[in-house]
Amino acid sequence: MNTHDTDDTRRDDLPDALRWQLRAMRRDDAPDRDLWSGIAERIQAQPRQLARQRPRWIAPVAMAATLVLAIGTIGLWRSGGEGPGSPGTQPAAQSESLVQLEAQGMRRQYQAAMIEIGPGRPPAELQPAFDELDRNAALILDALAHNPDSRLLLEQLRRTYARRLALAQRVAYA
Amino acid sequence: MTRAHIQRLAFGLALLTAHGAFAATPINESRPLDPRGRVEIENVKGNVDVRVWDKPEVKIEGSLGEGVERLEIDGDREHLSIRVKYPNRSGMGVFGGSDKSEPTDLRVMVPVRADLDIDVVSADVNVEGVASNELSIDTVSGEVTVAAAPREADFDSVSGDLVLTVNSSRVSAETVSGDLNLRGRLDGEVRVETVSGRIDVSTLNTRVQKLSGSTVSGDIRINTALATNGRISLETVSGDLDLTLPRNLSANVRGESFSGDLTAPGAQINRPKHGPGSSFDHRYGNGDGDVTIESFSGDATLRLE
Repeated sequence: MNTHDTDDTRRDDLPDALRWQLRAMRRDDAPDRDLWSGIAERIQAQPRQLARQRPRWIAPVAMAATLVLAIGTIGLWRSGGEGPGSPGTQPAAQSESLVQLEAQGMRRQYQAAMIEIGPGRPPAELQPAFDELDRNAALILDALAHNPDSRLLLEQLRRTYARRLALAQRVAYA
Repeated sequence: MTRAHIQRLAFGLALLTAHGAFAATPINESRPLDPRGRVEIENVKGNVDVRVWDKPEVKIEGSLGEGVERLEIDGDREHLSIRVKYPNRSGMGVFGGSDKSEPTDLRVMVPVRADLDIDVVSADVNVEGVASNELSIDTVSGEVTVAAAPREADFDSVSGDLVLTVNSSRVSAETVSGDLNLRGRLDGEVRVETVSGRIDVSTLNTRVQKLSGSTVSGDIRINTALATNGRISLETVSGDLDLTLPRNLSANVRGESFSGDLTAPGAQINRPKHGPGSSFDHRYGNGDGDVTIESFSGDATLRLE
């Protein structure tokens, strides 16, 4: 699935070059925790009228969802479309840790977004759906611990987090 | 039972009957609509039943639940909006415990070619006969049952099951925990996705151009045929995956799993000497199409029948 490789020689060289380029991009694209605090402060500093019109967590949720998508996309690019069934043929420990790092970054962004939403519980009728999404996200993270080089699991984690954020957003808009 | 008991019982029944009579307000409305116009329907809880006719008109019948503010019908001949409006609430709105309104039942007749966009929360949806360009249904926990032939169809559910019989060239359906059952003449693109819900897709005498299916823990079962140069991509984390294709399949099929069992007729399953994982790559016929099945721990099976 790696469409960047045109021959065997480049296939050996390109991943390292890409890895360094993407590592640099990652610093630009994925803000750390301190940046989140700044975002939260700015949101809280907005006029009260605006805060009444729009729930305060919408912006961070949208931003986090965008980040989750961006990180997921970068993660997929970096993993080069390597599938889960090639564990026996993917010995590079460095490559495995990259996927795991992306998953950890995705998880942090997701958790930050959920903190911004606040400690409120979802409505009772939707609690099972939230529980189901959490259970499946935990299942994917556990699977990633066993197979940390899996593009499949990274993409599944991105989808599950995005789906949960979307559901929280839907509840707030209702 | 004494005479006094009987009188009290009769009085109670009369009260209940009277309450029922006032609880729901009958609906009987009609609006003109172009044969290829668009109808949007919103109802939080109760039922939405849609049927079709050849008239350039929308007819709305049913009953408005007690506590509902009103039935709002807006728009023109090209675009009609039907909304069950609830009193203003705070907090989590229709999801919160503050909503004490009763369910509303809507029975809507629409032109057979009219586009349809239905948005509900817990209301069940039943659509029959629609042959529009677009059909879109969005639900949280309501059951969705469709028998229609829209050119493009889009379904989204959280926990409600989707039971879909559609003849379409493009179908997209996803749920979180609801089961997804899709049947029909599907000859274009099909995308099905759940988190834990079960996926069951079966095409009828048609060959798909592109089919993608994904779950985290739900099982996937697909019975279809592949168009020349078509693509099928199925993936799951812990669910079992079962793909049935015709014996005359012409495609390159790849399968991968970390700890699940892989099965494919005639294919050699490769397992590394050290470490987990298994995979296969097998050409059937001329290898025109492309099929991939992937899992983490679920079993993945290809059948040729």
